[in-house]
Amino acid sequence: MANPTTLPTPFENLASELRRGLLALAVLAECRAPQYGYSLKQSLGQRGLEINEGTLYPLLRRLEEQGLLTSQWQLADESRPRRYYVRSPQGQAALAHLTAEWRQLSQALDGLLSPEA
Amino acid sequence: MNAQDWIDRYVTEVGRMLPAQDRADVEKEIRSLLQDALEAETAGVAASDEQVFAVLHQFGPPREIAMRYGASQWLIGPLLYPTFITVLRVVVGIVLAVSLFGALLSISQSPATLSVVDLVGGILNGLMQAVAWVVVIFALMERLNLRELQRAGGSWDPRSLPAAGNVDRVSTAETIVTVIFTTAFIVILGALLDSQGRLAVHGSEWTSMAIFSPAFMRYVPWMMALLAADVVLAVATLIRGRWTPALRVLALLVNLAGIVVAALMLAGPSLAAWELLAPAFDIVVAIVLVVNVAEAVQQGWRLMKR
Repeated sequence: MANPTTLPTPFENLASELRRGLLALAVLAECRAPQYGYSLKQSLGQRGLEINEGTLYPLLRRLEEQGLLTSQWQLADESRPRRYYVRSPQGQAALAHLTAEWRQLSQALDGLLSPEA
Repeated sequence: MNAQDWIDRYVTEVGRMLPAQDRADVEKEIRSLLQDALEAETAGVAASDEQVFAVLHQFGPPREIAMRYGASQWLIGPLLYPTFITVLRVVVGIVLAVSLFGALLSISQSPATLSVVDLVGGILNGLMQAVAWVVVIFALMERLNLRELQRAGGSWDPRSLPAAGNVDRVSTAETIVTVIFTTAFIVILGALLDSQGRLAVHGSEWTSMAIFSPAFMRYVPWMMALLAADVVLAVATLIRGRWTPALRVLALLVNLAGIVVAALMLAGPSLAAWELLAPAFDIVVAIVLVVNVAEAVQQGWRLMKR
């Protein structure tokens, strides 16, 4: 994903809207094993998905409210609690559905955006 | 000030804006997330203020975080807001006009006994009551509307749309104004019932005197019941968004009851405590009778035309 800071504001809004829609899919894919907020942000970042904290962390909570993730507080090494999120069976089904959706959309858009179109 | 203090400030500020039931949990989570971010920044060394600020800045303004964590709730949503403003204007206008008129009347009767503070206080009090009622009614409608939307779900049928100029359509603003003033009238009648027909009259000083006859007072509960039925009907048309045949039949029945009560009042003993006032009272009741007849005819006609 493009670095949002290089875009002028009106485009930046559109770009962040676009990213936000795909974020749930990325999070569901990445939560195959338990992840806490910061580790999830890091691992998504390493794959080129730079996500703002203010967007990612509330999303985790929303996905949990929808039953797609489950969470658990665990003590980190320095006796500090961290909340770990992991995909639920429902989240697994949602991931399969969203993946198919994404493949189809991505193919359709590739066709639209290629120069010969 | 150390890093923990800044984090505490930030978390408290976010928590302040969150719904109470989520507050403790979200606060705990944000605190843990901030500590993780700060730790990554400092690699175990004590954090400088600049490092804490950078992390907090990255998280964004507390208000924004709170909003993203679901703190955005509203009393009156965008769907009802335009009607809300229309109704508020009408109600505030009428209340202002009536209370100014009342104030002028009192001044003209006895300018000496009335203080400006009382006058302004009275008008402000009336305005605030009116605004409060409008807000409460709209907030209730917002909740009812939401439930209706959720229940209707995907079952909406375009064929259920009434024609644009259809007489069955209900004007939301008009209906709410009716509800508010009918309710106010019920309250006034209730107060009259409490004082047994005596009105506070402002002469050289406040005194109370009987204006209505015992015969009139016997009808007050009936009038209140009919007005309450009007309010219920108005609210029902608001929820349905239109006049259904069933609602028209009910309205027709209320009108017919109104005609009976008004006719009985006219036929019975004098309504006023002073004979001097009796003709004026009779005229008012006669007007009510005529209005009820007109409304009953209209409802009956529209029912038959279907």
